[in-house]
Amino acid sequence: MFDKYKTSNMLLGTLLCSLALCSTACDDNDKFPEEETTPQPVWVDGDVRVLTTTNNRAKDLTPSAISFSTKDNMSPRSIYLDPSTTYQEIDGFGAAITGSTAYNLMKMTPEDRAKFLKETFSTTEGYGMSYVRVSIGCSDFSLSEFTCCDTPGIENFALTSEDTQYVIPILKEILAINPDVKVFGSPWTAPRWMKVNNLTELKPTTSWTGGQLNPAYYQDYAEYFVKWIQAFKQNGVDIYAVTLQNEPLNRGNSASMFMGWEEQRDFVKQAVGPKFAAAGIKTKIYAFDHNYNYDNMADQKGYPTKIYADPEAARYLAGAAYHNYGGNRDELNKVHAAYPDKELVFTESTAGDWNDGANLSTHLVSDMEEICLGTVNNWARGAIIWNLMLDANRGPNRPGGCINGFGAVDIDASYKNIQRNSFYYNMCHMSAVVKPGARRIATTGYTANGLTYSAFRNPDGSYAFVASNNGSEAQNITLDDGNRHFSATVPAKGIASFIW
Amino acid sequence: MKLKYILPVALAMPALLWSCKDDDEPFGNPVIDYRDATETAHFGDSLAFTVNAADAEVALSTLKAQLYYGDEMVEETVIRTKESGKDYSGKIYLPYFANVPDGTATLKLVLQNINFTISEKEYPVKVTHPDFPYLTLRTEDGTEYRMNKTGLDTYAVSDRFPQKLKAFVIAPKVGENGNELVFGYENSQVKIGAESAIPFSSSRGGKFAIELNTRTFAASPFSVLKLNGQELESIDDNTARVDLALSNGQAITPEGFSNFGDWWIDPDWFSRNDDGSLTFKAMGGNYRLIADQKLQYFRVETLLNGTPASLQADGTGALWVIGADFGKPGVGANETGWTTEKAVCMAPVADKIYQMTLVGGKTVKTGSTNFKFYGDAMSWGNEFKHDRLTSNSDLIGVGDGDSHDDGNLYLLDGVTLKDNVIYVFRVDFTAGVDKGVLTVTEEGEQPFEEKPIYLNGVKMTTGDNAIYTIVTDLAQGSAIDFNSVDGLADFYFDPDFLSYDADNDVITFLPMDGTYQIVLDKLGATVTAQRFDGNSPAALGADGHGAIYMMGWGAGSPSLDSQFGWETNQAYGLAEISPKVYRFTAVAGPEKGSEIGQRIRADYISVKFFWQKGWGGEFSGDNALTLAPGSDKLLKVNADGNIELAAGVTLEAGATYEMTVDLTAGNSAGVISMVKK
Repeated sequence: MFDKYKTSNMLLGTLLCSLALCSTACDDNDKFPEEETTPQPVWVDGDVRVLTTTNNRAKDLTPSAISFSTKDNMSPRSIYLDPSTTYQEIDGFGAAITGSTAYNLMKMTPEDRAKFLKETFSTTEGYGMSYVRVSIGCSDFSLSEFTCCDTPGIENFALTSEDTQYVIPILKEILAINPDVKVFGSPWTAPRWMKVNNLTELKPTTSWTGGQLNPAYYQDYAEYFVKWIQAFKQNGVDIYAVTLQNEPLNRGNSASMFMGWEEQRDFVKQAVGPKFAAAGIKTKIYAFDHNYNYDNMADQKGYPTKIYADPEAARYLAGAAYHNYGGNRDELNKVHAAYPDKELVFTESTAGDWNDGANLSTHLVSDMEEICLGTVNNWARGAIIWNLMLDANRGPNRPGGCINGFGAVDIDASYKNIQRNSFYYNMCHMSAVVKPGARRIATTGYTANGLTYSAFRNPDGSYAFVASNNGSEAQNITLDDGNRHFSATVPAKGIASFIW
Repeated sequence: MKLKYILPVALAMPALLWSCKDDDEPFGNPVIDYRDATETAHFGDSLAFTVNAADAEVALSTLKAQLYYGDEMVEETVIRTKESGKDYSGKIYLPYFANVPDGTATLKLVLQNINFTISEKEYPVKVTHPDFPYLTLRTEDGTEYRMNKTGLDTYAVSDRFPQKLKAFVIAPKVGENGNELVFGYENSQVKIGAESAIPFSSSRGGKFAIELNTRTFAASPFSVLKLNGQELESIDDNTARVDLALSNGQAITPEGFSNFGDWWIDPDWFSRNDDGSLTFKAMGGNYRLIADQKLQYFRVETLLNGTPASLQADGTGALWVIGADFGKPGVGANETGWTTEKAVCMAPVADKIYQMTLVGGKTVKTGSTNFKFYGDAMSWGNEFKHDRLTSNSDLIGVGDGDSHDDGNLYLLDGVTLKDNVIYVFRVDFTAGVDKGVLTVTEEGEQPFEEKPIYLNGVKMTTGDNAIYTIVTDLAQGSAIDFNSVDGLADFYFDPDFLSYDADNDVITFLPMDGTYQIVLDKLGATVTAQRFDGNSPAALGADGHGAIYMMGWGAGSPSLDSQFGWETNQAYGLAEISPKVYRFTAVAGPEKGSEIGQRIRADYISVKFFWQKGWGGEFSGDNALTLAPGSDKLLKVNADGNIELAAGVTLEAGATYEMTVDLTAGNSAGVISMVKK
């Protein structure tokens, strides 16, 4: 029998607390934290390091620590991690460094920018975001419409000023902070001289939007990808993966190009795949890069799987990328079931006025369920959301493109004050504890309505666990890795990340 | 919170707190003396405790007993402690959750005086799972079944149950501090103390086992019905539904349905495929399929915007039939009648053309028809009378309101529908919904379809004379299930291969594990078996396993009307009832007029045993069988290896005898015995 005896006096404690509060608060009115000031991303040391965020920002990536329990684990709310059952490897989590994002970051003072990038990307002093996406040429969040080869003739390829003055410098700052960040590239359109109005008439088009890739330029456009990857590498940025067309079924936007699955199959099989191989480029190629519902086009259903059915094309494809502007993420499960050897990655989602996207109270947990835990639990190796940073005018943006979206963070007109939105919290909660190369692992035990979670084993052997709670009451859980266990709380309408 | 709010509160708090207490009031010193330290308990116990609570200076307030599983407080009991120095007794319940391992819990005692001074003491309690001697399954109508222990923490009862059975499982009190525990159902999980019964469900009613694990709370069965992978939503105990988007020609794959081979397949909507799936025959669209497990058929309803469709002004949508003298899957079992909820939805077979197929004497009465069409879904609305519907049939008319009710279908004078003839009713609205045309055509006779028989879910093959066979691997002691065979209690089961427990409707396979041919003679009402090697009768192996065969006179199966004689195709394979031991169990009877089961003559036997089903190796000469001690009173072994009744012996007619050939000493050292049972 152990006999832990203690005596306390609540009155005395209350008095001491009151006095302590008084002495702290009375010191200096100017030192009281401003509401807009963001907390420092500093871990609290302990057996288990924890980050917690609630939808009212009462906890705002708040660090804390938990000690392993010394008692027998008899908790009925135990979640048991099973590292012997592993699922997909994790590539990373992050946001897009669009032209607009890079422009906004450049408008900040170097000190403020360094502070933001460090707290966002540093694995030791920040949240360790590990995956970013950039556009090959322009996107709808660029400073203008352009490609890297607007003058006919592939010999005229050159990086643009948006690349050299904004995106690449920002990427280099990020890579200086976290060299392991992966960079993912996607084109919004091919150079217009490579496009035709359709594949029947094959008439040239001068439009930035719509049109299709002229098969006569498959080799040139493949060379365009090679040159773009090589140019970024020459500037110190390795490209980890590309898709061949952002949203290939979208003919609208401010810049776009339609590319049906048969075109993409032929393009990768006849041009891009062989060109990459010939150039010794190891950059992964992902198919598709669009919505779960294939924009309800019957002939495009299962887009990547149709390409996988052709082994000559499939051998060049690492997998497929998805957005969530239509359909259900269960599509990821279906594609995985059909082609378990092919990878899946989530590459874009945006919040905006249309879904009250800046309202953290409604979005924090639902976005976590949909974008991060939802895709990872459906076999995605990573998740990247759209603009990392937009300005007070939701931009800079382009006519015809999205004009009422939010960034993962938004910065005000002074380029000083930052508002974190749900996607930023989501990604930080993942990347802070789930390291590139981690494996998602199985769990058994406690489940509850509104409680969503996923567990991982990091390459260094540490465990990561991320949970969201959409309920109105906190969820007390006990996490047990078979050797150690501890009790923790996932707050109501909140998310929590654990690493030990 | 802004500083301007915090500062005044912080400053005021000490003053407020001091103002409610006398500066000299003592803190006191609550003292806990735990008298009955119980160190072990079971989950589900009520742990009794007695504490002497005292405080020499300040009056006591409360004693709290808190139970912790790990770091989590799972139970608390609060006792008012009015007098210092007194013993206070109470009980605290040890919650019993699923999947919580045995371990050391913590009982924390917290004593507090009226000045909020507290003292705490913690005591370890080793908690283990109770070992229930049995459980009781209590159905909602109060019927109780004993669930016996089948393994560590597992309990089961096998009995005849309805397909769906709601029941609680009650665990008896174990130990001095134990409680009777009731396993119920909450949030789709088994839970002790839940107020709802556990909704067990099997794929079919009849004999099945209900199981519960008292450590994991895993229970079974909970069968799930699916069509094309989509789970059906239960409507009531017998029906479940699912809404599907279907196209013409689309395959529909059922999962979880019992006896699906026996289900009636509505020919307007489906055709049945050899692989057990269905093919959808109507036009593409959205449909509700309602599985009626009692009547064993799918009711189909056309949907529009997620609800049963009504006929649209352009003739699309759905057409419904209500009335007497017809019904699916049978007019006897489920006459539609004048009940709107039972309205039959006709199948859209072409644009604006609706079809209902009925079979004389089965789904429609032959002597009368009295039903009519409605446009509104399952209601009296948009009724079709003779002003909007005409018949061009020479069998069926549409009533004009004079001699027949307006719109009601009737048999024309002199017409009687024919038994087993298929009548296809079609209503054509291509000329407009006010110009409906009814046609009724005869489309031959419904072909006779022998119901398939499945052994453990595998379809048996059938030839002439309703004899079904299958070659399959079977394990000794395993259960065999034949679906769609009525009256198994009246069947004869070869007693050395199969036993039938009529009370529980269970057939058990008796011989050693192996491949066997099972033959079910539906007309002869017998089930027999023989050992196979691949697709041929097995022979005796050099290791003594396999089969040995009997030929000769005075023995036959299933009765002496089928004596084996010396015809190799009649040779009877004995069951290997234990390793290298073969048996033939028979009731003694007369050569002529024997009953089923009378497989040896009372007055004469002359048989020989062989190593294969035919001539060749046999138990004679150096390999001759020898008589077991005592069997010489019934049998003798002739020099040629034939086995005969001992001189002067007549068996007792009607008595059962077991003839056993034991090869455990080797195939050349076999011993034969016969005993009367």
